[in-house]
Amino acid sequence: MLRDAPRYGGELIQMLRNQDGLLTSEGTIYPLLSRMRAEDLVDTEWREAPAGSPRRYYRLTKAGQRAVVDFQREWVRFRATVDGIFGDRGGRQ
Amino acid sequence: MMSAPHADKLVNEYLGRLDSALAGVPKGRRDEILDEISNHIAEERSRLSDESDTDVLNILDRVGDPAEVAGAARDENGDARVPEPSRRIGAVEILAMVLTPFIWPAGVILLWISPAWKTRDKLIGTLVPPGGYLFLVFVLPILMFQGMSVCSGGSTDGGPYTQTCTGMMALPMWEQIVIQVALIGSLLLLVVLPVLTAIYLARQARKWSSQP
Repeated sequence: MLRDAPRYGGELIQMLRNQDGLLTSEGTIYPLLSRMRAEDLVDTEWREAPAGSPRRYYRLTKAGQRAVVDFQREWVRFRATVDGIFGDRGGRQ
Repeated sequence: MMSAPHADKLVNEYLGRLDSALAGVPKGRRDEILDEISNHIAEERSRLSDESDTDVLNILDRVGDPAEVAGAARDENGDARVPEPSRRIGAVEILAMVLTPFIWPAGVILLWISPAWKTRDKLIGTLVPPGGYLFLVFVLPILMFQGMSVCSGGSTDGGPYTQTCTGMMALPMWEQIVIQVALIGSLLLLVVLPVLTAIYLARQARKWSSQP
């Protein structure tokens, strides 16, 4: 979600609300973002909000972009494995 | 925007519970999380044109149980990949460096407990020299015994004086010199090695603690 633009926490939560069942406690996103910041996967920048207090925007760092690519590769492999297992079982039934 | 009668109180209570749930999380991170969540709640509230206590309670429900939010923060601290609390040279590391040369068994145990050194460094710390200065205490008597010589001799019946020796003295002079030099050299080495090893361990530990 951060690949195309820096975003603030509330924005990420809005996006996740549209995905089914991914985010049950919306507040947990902040500790996760804080963790990613500590690991240098994102950096942050304060920006003015149209109203109210400034927002902290999160942006992927180089290391963060690499982590996304790595994860995507792992995920595709994992999905292929799981699909393979279910596929086998489906075949036998 | 109308504020609901108990809204601020509800929010403050929630943030208070979150703050206590975050106990044990490093201060900087804790403040950052609290700050972000309190901003998030304020923004959600500002979207409501006419808020009621129920609306505020719904917002807080969506943000989630403080224990669950804090759990996400604590996972990261329990996680070995986050080095902040663990990558500091502490009492274990200092004692390991000081004790290894002098009280070898205690030093070595600490050395292997500490995450500051890789297996290679731990092997070097343990075996160069094995036992630290204790090794010297064991080796010194052996070296001295090796160096000892017994000579006996005399003359019988006015014959020529003869002397027989065992040990070092039985060897030709040049071999004696080579052996003496080697002995002194290895003694010096045994005195210096534990110090060099301790310096090496200190440098490795500092390298480890300065890693991100």
